[in-house]
Amino acid sequence: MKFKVTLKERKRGQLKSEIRFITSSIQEFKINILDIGQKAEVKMKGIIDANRQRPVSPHDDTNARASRKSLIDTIKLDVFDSGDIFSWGLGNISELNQYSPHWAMINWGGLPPSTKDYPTLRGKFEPDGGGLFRKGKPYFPIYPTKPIRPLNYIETTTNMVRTSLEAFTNLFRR
Amino acid sequence: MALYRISRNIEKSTIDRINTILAENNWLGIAVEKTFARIYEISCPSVCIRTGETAHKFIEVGTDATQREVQIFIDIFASNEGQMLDLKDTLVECLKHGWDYFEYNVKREAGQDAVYDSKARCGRLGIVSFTEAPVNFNIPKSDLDIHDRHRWLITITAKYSKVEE
Repeated sequence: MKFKVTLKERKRGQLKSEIRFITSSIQEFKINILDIGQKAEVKMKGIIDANRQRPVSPHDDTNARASRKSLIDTIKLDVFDSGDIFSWGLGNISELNQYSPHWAMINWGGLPPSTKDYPTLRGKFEPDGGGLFRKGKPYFPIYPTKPIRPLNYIETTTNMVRTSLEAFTNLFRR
Repeated sequence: MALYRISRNIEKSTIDRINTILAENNWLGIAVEKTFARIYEISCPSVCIRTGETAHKFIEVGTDATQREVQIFIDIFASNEGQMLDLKDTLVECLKHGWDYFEYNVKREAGQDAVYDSKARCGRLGIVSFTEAPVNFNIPKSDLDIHDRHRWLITITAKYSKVEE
């Protein structure tokens, strides 16, 4: 999104004060845009948290692999401000793929891969532990049959950002 | 005899519109479902319709009248890459103009599922925003379930034309 500022006829000395005004307005503008980003982060994490299927994530336990993180912990607000360009992004795709590769399956839904596709994917279910799947002995093969329901947390958050930006930019329209 | 409420009418109107588009464009044998899990019980190609968040916007000061904006997800499950692209373009071309909203009457007899009895046009669903994107799981396609190999998601934010008092 780009904004064009046009200065019409001005008296001598008036330009300096107007530039000061525009500079402070740009700062205010950045704060408001950042605020939308922070609200989007809360919204996205809220959708994921509210739709947890199990109260305890398997990655919260001590046997969890260090290379895996909860999706909520991986989603962070990245802010970029070079002076001329100010932007933010929600969730770093490389980090998501590395630490929470299940982000795509949770967003779009689908049938998770089975032991047939990944021979190393073997483990056991613990019905008493909230039905958690843990990798390790006694190494039963896993064949999921029930698809994961899509949360569409990305699309829902994008919609919220769109409406927030529209409401904000409407303030600048004549 | 029972009447569907607005959200279910929106879903059913969208399903009907997509069925019409598919028939008009000679796409045969494509199931249009609204239950995500059901898609995995039938063969590709198929389309799944779901509604997401709904925003109710007050239209003016001094009244409680609102107008709703609803998010509609259209998941395309195709058999191959080419079919996926053609199918999504067909739907995008036709749906971007909006479609009619119908109110559906259903009748239910004891121990049986509800059956559609009649429908009446009661407004229109206009497009507020429209996005489409491939569904990429970052997993080799051969390792995915056959339903997840060629997927496309169309996300529509639609505004129901009728003001709700």
